[in-house]
Amino acid sequence: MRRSIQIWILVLAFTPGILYAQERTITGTVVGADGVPIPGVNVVQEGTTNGTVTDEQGNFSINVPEGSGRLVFTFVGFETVTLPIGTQSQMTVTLEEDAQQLSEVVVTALGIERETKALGYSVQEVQGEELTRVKETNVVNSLQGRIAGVQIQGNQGALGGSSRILIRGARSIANENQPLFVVDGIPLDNSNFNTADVQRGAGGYDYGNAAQDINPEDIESISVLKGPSAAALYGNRAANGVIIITTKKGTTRKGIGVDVSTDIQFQDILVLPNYQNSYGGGAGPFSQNEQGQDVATFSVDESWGPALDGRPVRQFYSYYPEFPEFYNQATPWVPEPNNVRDFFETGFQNTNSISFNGSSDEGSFRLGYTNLNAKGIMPNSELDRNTINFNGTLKLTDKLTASAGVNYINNTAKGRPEQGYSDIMVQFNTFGQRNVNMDILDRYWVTPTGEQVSWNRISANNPQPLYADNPYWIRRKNFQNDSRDRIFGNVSLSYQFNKWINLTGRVMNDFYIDRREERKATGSVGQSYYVSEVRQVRETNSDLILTFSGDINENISLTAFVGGNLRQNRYNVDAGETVGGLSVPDFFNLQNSTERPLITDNTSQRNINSAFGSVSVGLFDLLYIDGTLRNDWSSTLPTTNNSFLYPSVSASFLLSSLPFFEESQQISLAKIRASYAEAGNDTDPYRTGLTYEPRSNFGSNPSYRVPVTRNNPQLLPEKTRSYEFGVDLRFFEDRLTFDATYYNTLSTDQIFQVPVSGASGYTSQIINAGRVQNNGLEIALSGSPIVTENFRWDIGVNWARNRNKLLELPQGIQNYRIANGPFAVTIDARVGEPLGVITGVDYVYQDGRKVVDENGAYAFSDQLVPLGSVLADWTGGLTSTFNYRGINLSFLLSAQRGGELYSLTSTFGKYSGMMEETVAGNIRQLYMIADGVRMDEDGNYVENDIEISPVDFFASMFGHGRAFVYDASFVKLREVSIGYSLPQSLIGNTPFTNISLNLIGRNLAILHKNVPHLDPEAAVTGSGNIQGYEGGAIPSLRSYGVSLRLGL
Amino acid sequence: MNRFLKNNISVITLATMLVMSCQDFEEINENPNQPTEVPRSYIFTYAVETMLDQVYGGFDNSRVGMTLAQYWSQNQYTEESRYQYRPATNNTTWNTMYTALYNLEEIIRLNEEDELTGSPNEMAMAKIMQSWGFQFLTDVYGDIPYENALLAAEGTVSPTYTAQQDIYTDLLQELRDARDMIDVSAPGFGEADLIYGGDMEMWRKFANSLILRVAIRMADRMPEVSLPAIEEAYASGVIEDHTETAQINYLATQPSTNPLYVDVVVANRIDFSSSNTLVNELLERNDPRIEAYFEPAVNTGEFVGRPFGQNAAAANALSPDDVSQLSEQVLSPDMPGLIMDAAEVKFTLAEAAQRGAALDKTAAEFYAEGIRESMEYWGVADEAQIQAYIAANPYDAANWKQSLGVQKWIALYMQGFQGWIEYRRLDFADILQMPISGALVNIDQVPVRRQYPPDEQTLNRENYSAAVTRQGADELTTKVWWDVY
Repeated sequence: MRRSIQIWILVLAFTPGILYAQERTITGTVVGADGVPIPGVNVVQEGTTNGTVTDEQGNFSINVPEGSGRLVFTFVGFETVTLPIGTQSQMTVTLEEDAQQLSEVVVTALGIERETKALGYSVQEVQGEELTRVKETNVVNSLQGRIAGVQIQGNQGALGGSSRILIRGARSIANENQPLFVVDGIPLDNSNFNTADVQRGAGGYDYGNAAQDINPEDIESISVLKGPSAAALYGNRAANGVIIITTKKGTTRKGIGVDVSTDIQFQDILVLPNYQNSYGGGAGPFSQNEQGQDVATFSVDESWGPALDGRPVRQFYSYYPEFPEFYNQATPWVPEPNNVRDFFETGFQNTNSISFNGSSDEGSFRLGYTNLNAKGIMPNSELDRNTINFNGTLKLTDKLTASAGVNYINNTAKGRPEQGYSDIMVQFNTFGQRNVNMDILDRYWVTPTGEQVSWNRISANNPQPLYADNPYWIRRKNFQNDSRDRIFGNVSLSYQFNKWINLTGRVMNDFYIDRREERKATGSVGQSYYVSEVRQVRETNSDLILTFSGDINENISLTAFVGGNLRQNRYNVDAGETVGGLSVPDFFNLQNSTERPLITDNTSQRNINSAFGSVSVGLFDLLYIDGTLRNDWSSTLPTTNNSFLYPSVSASFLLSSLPFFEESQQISLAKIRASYAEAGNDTDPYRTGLTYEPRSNFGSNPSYRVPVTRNNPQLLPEKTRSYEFGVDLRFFEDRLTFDATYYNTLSTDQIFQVPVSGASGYTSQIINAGRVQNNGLEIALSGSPIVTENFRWDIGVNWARNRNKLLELPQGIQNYRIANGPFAVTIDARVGEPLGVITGVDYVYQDGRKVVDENGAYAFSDQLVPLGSVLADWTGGLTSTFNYRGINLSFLLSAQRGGELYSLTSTFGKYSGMMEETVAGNIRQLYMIADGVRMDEDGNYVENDIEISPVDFFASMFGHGRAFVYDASFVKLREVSIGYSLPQSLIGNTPFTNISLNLIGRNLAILHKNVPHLDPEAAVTGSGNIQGYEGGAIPSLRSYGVSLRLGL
Repeated sequence: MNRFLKNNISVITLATMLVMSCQDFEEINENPNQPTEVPRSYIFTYAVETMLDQVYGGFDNSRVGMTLAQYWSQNQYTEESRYQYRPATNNTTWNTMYTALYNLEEIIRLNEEDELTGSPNEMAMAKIMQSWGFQFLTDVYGDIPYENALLAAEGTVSPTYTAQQDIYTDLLQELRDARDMIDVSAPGFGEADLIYGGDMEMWRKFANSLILRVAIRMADRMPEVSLPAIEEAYASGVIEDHTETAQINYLATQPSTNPLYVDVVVANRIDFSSSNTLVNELLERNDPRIEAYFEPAVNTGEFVGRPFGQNAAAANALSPDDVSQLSEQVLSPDMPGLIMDAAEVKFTLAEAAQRGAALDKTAAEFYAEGIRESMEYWGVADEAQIQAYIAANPYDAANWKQSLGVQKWIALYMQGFQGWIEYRRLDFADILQMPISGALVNIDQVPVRRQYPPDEQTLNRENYSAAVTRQGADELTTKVWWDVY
């Protein structure tokens, strides 16, 4: 900064000397419409080579001969301005942004920047600043609602939990359907190692997907390639689309630039279940002790106990001489309406970031450091992430350029919340006592001798916890911790032979070590244990690409390239788990296992070699045609079938270049596009050979088995074929834009593990089978209804509908089990239905009424039936931004229509008498009569009048699927931000080039939902197809905070 | 020229890279985590442990078998004792049993293919355990995939169901074939044999004893096959006393303990207690086995059974400390998993004699031996006590189904499914009761079979439907083939 000022002073100082040359000097400043100086603007004397470039302050100085002439000011993304020199020696030039031109360049496959008008497929881009305005611990979540056809579900309560991205629906029946992440050309591993139990809501920790390591602060832009046509060059793993992330590079400027930002966010609970607060724990009346005191029932983890009428009762904390306050005392039996809310704390997230960048004629660099520190809503939880990002380029010679980028990320977390049907949420939502006071549990969680104090003690005489540990004990003693150290980066050398031909070679590597530790302390419910898992993940890619680009004549442009890629993936997990408990209490080490610890040792490797090529031709600025071809060879397929070739072709036709439209004042762009692509896919390693699987020894006898999944030595590659059509229309100088795409994708020969009748000897087999079709419509509409000098209003809407259908399963199989829920329902794929059907029993109906059996409970259907789809009918988002004199207000609404989920919170929350439905209409005092019909003695159906107790009624329902499947539609106020950038007039005299302040809020409100007790998005605990099962979800969160950015 | 050369060099380099790295693809895809060959004994250990762990696990024996036989009541979560079952755990039973049976099939295949070390004894042991497993499944469900089962490697992933009559006929043949393959002087699986530690003579007796179990269940349908089979097996040699019991000898250390120990003691849970159905019967008969089966109630020191089939409120109102809980012996980590004991052999012989089989002892004699073997197995050492008990509970030839049935039921404690199966077959009266708080499903009798697991409805629908059409509705009340009365 200071240095550049000095340079400017020097320039000014020499000005008089230059006057000698019979020339004169013109100085000036180039600014944008907002008054901000623009560095790097080309200033040329028209018709000559005499020119200069504006400096960082937008200032320029040019010597022109005495007399006439004009100066031409050009800069990428701005309209060119030509001004007569006249007699002036000082000028201020304002450049207007060329909106059309700005949006025309997007990043496409292999990082190639292309003009959008030339693309025959849909690509959508999001700028980094939109993502950093409101930061998420998992950057993927920030894309929610911004891109048509991209559905993102995130587990917000889980401190860096999983996000699931679905681009144009789910294609693969068995695989995760996650897009490929590419950061600066580096394919980034996005593994999710969550156990199946976590994903199906059966308990465990959600560690999230690995793409969350990407630091939003370092992102320049994100480009989403939605379909196989766009992604054809990425080969087999891009069938689900590609998220291309370009990180920030050194910018053209003088001196070293410094950017600093800080942001603070707070989180609290958005949705909690509606609990009942009239009845306490137990299953019947109080018992009496020898002193005649009423004694609460501790052993029953349900809330069918006595009314909370304030009478004195011996409660769980009254049995400890160490707590004299309560010892032997009967205390009032009162409601605790806020006990669950009281347990949760305010979450906190602080991100601090600093970056340096600079450039010279020889090269440029950017170095960034970001620290993210977060504390979750459960006690004793924290996440800390440090990211260092470096990008640099260097011109070795005129023709040879070297560049390198490296990212180091260190993640550590402690006390992630347990998901689903496990310790904490179970006692809050599914099996608990509504009378429990959190403050007492917090203060008296442990006796001075280290014994746990639980509300769920076995009996008055036995303090051992029966089913539920004290939640504070769980948080303070049974917490998990994990860390991930990751390095990814690339090195590339590029040689420009001449104007047309370039050869680039790159090596890209992504490597991380992920360590997870889970523990249960001695004195908890169940056996103490310690689990340690260490994973190493590595992907290396090397490629070499030869490019030809140039214009054959003024009407025909040609770009073509050929290349090859070698890819290797290695994965290793070493894990151990204690057996028989810990020998020394609370010493968490595998060597402290009472019996020989259980060991997991798993290694895998996959190699893929590829050759690819592409040709793009542009004709008369009217028609653009692209063709690509790629062949992959994969190590995971049988050697006879391991090579697969697939083409793509796309075209873009610019109607607006036709004479008829060129004259139009209203239409600024009209384009139609079409494309067709195929993609092949391989499978996981080791699915072709027959082997035996090691099991736990019996004593000293080894135990091996035939795996329950049968491998297949005859596998073929998978195939996906797709086509898409689209239009891109812009009106009134781009004040109104409309983009629509229709696509159709057919995936065949899918390789997956198909469950088969266990009676066959295997529970599943690996086969090629299945056809899945997706077709859909994506619409993006944006406009700027009001644009005045001081006020601007922009609005954008995106909407997408995907129709997914499973057309075919292997012969004889009607149903594919994606996952078993722990209770009541399964998540299936059924022929003729969308992937991910919730299946379970329904009511029995008679003339549309539910049939009640002799006991007064609902009859269950004999057959398992589809109860709903986990996939949404449509998703959409609405963004709107208002700018007024530097004040920026924006909000984002996102919505989903349709899609269903099964709720275990509702199932067992009612079973256990915790939810408000179990006290509705005073049913605890009276009996309830289920709404429906029953069969009378003559076999006729009459209005049901059989009385049933609510305990029996809700107990009879827990195996019922239909009763607990809900529509997951929602409308959410996803994001609101109010920002203010200080105008140049205020900061002109400070060292800062920009100062901006933002107030931010995220997930502020659910404007509409149909799922009782829950956030409809709460069921997401994994990235794969196992969705739609809520097993006792952590409450979802809303965040609000402030961010400050400074530029030097 | 220069440019041409450079371009070609890059293409050649690329091509070379591709060719070089293609060569070891086959090697790369060899699984480093799993061997392609293992000793057959390791598979046998797996199969035996897995089947017994499943049958004696918390979701089969404890929640289903023991409540169906009314040996146990539930202190909490009482749905199973009111005949409402969890569909998902039923899938696990089916899948675990069949995949273990497939591992036994694998042992047979490996022996057949191995001309050098193929062992008839190993094949016999695999076949015997297969027969035990298949009989368990058919007794519980009725018609099951049998002839057509375990053929996934041949491409049959949706096996047809075989009628129970045909299964039974074949089981008899399989057991005889297996027994006759045994060479008692040759080795078996040695220490990897978790049942008899490699004693092939015991496997011969075990095979004959299983023939008794199969044959007696056919007695109401096919007496002409049943009784001669029993005579033949008895003559060939069966389990003679409780020291010869076929059982998996669980170890005192995890993970090789009895699963019940993990479910109750390790997990510190109190889901199950004694049932008043069994406790009242034992008390009435002054049965000394009560002390081996249960503990006196903590609060009273008396043996009190929990009323069977209470709803949640009723179960809660009666503290676990006020009823008899499971005995220390039953909850010990090395409590064996019973496969077939001497008492059952004796009771079966008694019934066969009663039905007219030509045996060397009378029904009453076998009956008394059955009681004695059970007492001794459960550690009742006092000879006078045993004799007094036998005298007080004499064999009643006129009502043999009642007297023999009840004693067999008492002796089959811990083998929940077997106790329930014998109740279905012998129909002894006035012992089993309906759940005191009523059933949670529409049923007015003790169930006589288990419903097929829901997976079969979805994964093997056609064959499932055919079986249901043949056997009768997939309900708890549909009788299996041998269940005539």
